[in-house]
Amino acid sequence: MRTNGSVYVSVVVALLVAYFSYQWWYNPRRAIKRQLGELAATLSVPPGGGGDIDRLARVARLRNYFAPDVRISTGASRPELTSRDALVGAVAAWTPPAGGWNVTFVDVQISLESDTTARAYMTVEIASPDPRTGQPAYDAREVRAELAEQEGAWVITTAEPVQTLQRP
Amino acid sequence: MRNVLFGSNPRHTAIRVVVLVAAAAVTFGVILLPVRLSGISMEPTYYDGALNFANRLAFAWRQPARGDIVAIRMAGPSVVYVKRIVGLPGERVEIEMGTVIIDGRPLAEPAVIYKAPWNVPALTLGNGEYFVIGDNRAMTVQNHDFGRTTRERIVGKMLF
Repeated sequence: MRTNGSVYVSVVVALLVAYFSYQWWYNPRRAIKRQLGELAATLSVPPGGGGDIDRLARVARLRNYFAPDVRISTGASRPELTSRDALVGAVAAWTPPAGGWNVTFVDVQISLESDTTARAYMTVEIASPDPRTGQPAYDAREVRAELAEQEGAWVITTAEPVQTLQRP
Repeated sequence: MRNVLFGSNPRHTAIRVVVLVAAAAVTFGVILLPVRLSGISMEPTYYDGALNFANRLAFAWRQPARGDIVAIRMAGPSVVYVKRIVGLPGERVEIEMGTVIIDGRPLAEPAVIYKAPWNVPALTLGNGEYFVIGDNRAMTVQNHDFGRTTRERIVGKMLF
């Protein structure tokens, strides 16, 4: 009886270890969240801009997170970006605020559509120091994105804002 | 020293600690959502940086009402808008020269000190839809987030 109990406990422990190992290493949702976290870090700008080399490196790294034919919608009043090159060009041309900013993706929800496609829904929060007070000022927007696994990495294929409060 | 840390009856102290931790977990994890306000859109009712709580049980037994200040979730509850409800489901809402008009009648808003001449075209709210707006109407209309939201996005009512 005691031997059977030990076997059951061992099986349960082994199953738990297998489950958590899968969650930790192989779950695509985790891989996507990790990828999005790296993207947020790449989009963040340190105070002072970090210098030209740092800026160029960050812009170059952006290519790792987007599909070549990515479509990015930033809002009704601005034109849609329809390629990775256009996106990288827009980011390279943009002048970051002097105090830098910190981008974080919070409340990230991932749903797998197939083995190679997924959807992400999240809040993008941007914190930057107020030029007058120096205190952090926050802005946040909801974003819906579609991702695809290409050459072993998850990349964003479309991204669009979601209107939390809809004006007439 | 041991008496100071664990009390005269360590078992009772342990029970007290467990009860306190459980009560705090339920209160701040389930009932009250801590909210630190950022921005000026709710001035003068709330100022930038103020700390408050959203009571998630406020609308368990009743529906949100006009005048309630509510927390509205974005993708999740980590980031919320804090706004005042001015329009209820089925009502026609418009803003004319800064005055909110509900079903053709101007709305009395004692919390609003100054009204910039905003003009927002009329819309009729659907079932389960609310029109929310901040108290600071001295801002430009472009810099103020407001509009229609749904019942399921309303997380709770601000506690104080």
